[in-house]
Amino acid sequence: MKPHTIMFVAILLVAGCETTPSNVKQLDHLESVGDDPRIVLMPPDIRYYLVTTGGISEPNAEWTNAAQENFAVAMVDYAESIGADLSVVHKDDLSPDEIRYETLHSAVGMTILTHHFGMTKLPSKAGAFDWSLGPEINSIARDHNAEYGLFVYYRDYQASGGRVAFAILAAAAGVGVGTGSEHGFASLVDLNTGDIVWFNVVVAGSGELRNEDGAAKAVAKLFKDIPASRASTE
Amino acid sequence: MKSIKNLLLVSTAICFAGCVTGYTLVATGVNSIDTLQVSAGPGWNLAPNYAGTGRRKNSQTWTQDGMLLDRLVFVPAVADGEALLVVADESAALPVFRKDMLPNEIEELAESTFVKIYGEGNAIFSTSNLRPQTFGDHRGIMFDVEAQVTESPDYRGMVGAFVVDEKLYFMYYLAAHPHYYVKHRDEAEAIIKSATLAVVAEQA
Amino acid sequence: MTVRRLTFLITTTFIVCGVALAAVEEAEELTHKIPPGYVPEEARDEQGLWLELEEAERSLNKSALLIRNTDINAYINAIVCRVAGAYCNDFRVYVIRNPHFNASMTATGMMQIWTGLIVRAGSTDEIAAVVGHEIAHYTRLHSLQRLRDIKKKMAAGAFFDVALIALSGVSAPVGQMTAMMSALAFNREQESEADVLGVMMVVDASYNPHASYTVWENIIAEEEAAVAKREEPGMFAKTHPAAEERARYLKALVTARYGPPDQDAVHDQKLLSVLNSNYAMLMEDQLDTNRFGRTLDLLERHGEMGVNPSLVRFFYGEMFRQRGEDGDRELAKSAYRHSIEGADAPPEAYKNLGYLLLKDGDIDAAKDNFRMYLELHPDASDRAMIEFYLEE
Repeated sequence: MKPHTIMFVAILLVAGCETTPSNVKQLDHLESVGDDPRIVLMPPDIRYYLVTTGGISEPNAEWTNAAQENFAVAMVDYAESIGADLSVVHKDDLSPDEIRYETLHSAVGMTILTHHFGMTKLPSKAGAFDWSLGPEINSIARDHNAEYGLFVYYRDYQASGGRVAFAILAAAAGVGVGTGSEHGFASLVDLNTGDIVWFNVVVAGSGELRNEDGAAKAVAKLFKDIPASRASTE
Repeated sequence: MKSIKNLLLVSTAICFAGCVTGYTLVATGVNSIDTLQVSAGPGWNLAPNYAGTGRRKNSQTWTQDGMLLDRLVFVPAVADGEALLVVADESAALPVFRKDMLPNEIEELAESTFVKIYGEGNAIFSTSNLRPQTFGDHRGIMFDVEAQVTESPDYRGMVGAFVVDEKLYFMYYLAAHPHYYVKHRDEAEAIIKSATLAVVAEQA
Repeated sequence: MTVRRLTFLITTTFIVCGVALAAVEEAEELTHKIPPGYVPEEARDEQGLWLELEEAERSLNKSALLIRNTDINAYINAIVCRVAGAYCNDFRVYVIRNPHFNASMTATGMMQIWTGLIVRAGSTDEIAAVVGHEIAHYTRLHSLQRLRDIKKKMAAGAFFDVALIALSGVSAPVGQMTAMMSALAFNREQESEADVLGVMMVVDASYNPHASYTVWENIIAEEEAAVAKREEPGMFAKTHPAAEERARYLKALVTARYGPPDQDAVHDQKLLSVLNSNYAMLMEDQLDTNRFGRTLDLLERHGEMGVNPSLVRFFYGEMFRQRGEDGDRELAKSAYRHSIEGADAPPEAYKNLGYLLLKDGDIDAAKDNFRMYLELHPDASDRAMIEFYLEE
C-alpha cells in the first residue's frame, strides 16, 4: 500500500497545476494559404538536455544537433510535399529586427501556453485568440520575400534512470523534484499583419526528433493541419 | 493511514487553490484601488495575488494580453520611508519614498525600483519626458520609461505619480516592444490620467 | 545525522583547501594545458558544454546589455590581446553593462567583463591582472574539470542533499542557468592556480604584477564602506574565495618573486580616457543600485586617480542628494557648485542644484539654475517640467 501512495504523492507534487494538456491543441484561422505560399522558417529554437541524477540539466550536443538537423530536413521535405515554398534562415544570419521578433515570439508563445491552452484564462479574451506579433513584422516579409513566418520553440529535458529513482525518494521526504519535461510550440505568422494564424502546442510522444524517421513523424504531426494548398486537395 | 489521506487532501487542495484563483475581469467605469480611483475601459484583467514579485498588499496589476506582454500597475498610499515593493531581503537596498520628494527624485525612485524588480544587472531602465500632470485636483507628474531586459523583449511605458497628505500614489504602464506597447498605450494613458483620490466623507 | 554530516563536510573542505593552497604556492612550474586554437575533439560532455556555451554566446551577442561602444571595446580588447599573447585569437570579449564587479571565462574562450569592473579598476594593470586570471582558467581547462567534479559529487551527494533540503527549507538549484553557474564555480585550488599563472602572464605582458592584489584591496575597502553589508553578492563573490585571503597571499607571492612595488604612481591615461568618456553611464548605473557607501568609496578613488573633477564632483552631488541623510543636502549643493566651477560640469548639475534650492525655499536662485540648465541643454526632454517651475 505504502509504496503506491508514495508514488501517487510524487506524481501529484511533480505534476503541478498548469501542465500542458495532453491532447494536441491547435489553433487554425486559415482555410488555406493559397497557391504556393511562401514561408520562411525562423531558426528553430530546439534544445535537448539530459537531467542527471543530481539535477544538472546537461546539454546534450549530440541530441540537440541531431534534433535541429533532422527537424530542418523534415521541414523542408514536408513543405515540399504539401506544396509550400519554404526558405530556411540560419541562426547566424539573423538581423537585429529578426532577433527582436524571435524574443517577442517566445514571450507571446509562453503567454499563449499559459492563458489560452493553460488553466489560467484571461477573462477579457472570452476564449478568443487574437495574439499577434504586430504589423511591423512586415519588414521580415520583405527581406525574405515571404508571406508567412514559422517560429518553433522546443525544450526537452530527458530524465536519466537515476533521476527518476531520485524523484521518488525525494517525494517521500516531501520534496518536489522534476523528472523531466518537454514543452514547445510552433506558430505560423502572417507576415503582413503579424497575426498568429496557426499555433500548435508540441506534446510528448509526438515523435523522436533525435532520429530522422522520428523527426519526419513529428513534423508531420506538428504540421498535419497546417493550411496549405496541396494538402487540402484529397 | 489517516495521515497519508490528509496529505493527499492537502496536496489536492493546494493544487486546486492555485488553479482556481485566477484572473478576473476589471469592471468598466470607476475602480477603487485603496483610496485611488481610476476610470477603466473594457478589456482589462486583474492579476491574482500570486502574480508579480514583491507586490504591496493594496496594489493592483491589470493586463490585457498577459503580464509578459503588457501590464498596468497601481501602487497607492506609499508612506514616507516605504518602498514601492515588498522585499524580505534587507540587503536589497530598495530606495524609499520620502514625503518631500520633488519630481526628479520620484523619477529616480522609479528607475532604481524598476532595476531592482528585474535584478541589478539584468535590466537597464531610462526615463525621459518628465512633465507636470494633474490628477483630479492634485498636482503630479508623468514621464516615459524604456527598458532593456536580458532574455526578454524590450519594454516601454509611462509613469504617473502624485503626492497627497505625504503619501505617494504611483501608477505605471509597461509593455513589450514591438507591438504591445503601442497597442495599449492610449488606453493605459487615459486610465492613468483619470486617476484621482476618493473623497473621504467627513465625520459628523 | 544530517547536521553531523554537514559539519564534517565543512571541516573537511577547509582542511583540504588549506592543503591545496599550500601545494599550489610551492608549484613553480604552472603551465598552460592546451595550445592556442584548441577545439575539443573527443569527450562528449566537453562537446556538450561547448555547444551550450556557443548558444549562450549567440544570445549574448543579441543581448540588450552588450556594450557596443567602440572606445570601451577597443580598450578592453587591447588589454586582453596583450595579456593573452599567443592565445589572443582564442578569445571573444564581451563587455556587459552590469554595475557589479565581475569577469568570467568559459571553456570556449568567451570572456565577459562587466562595466562594474571597469568603474572599480584603479589602473589598467588591475584589469590586466583579472584578465590574466581568467585566461589561466581557460588554458588550464578548469571549466571541464569542474563540470565533471560536480557531476560526480552531485550524484553521490544527491541523497544527502534531499535530507538537507527537507530540514532547512532551502531549495536545490533549479533551472539550467544555475546549474551551469555551479559548474563554472571553480574550487579553491583552481582559483589559486589561476591567480599564480595569471600573475606570470601579466608579467610577461609587461603589466605591473602588484595590481593583482591591489584590485582585491579595493574590493575590501568598498565592502568596508558599504552600508548594507553582505548584500546579495554578485556572481563574482559567490564563485571566488575571500578577498582578504587572496590579497594577502598574492601580495606575499608577488613581493617574493618580483620585489616591492614601484614608488611613483603614474596617471593611467588610457583608463582615465575611458572613464571620462563613459562616466555618466557608469555612475548612473552605480547610483541605480542605491548603495551609497559603495558609491562614495568609488568616487573617492576616482578623485584620487584623476578622473575629470567636474564629473566626479557632480556625482558626489548626486550621491549626497539621493542619500538624503542629515546634512547631505548642504553637501550636495556644495558639490554641485564645485562641479560648476570646473570647466565641463554636466548641465544636470545646474538642474539638480535648482531642485535643492527649491526645497530650501530659495526660489529665485532655483530659477536661475533652471534657466542655465535649459540654456546649456536646449533639447532637454524634461523641459516641460522645468518650465513649469520657471512659470510658477
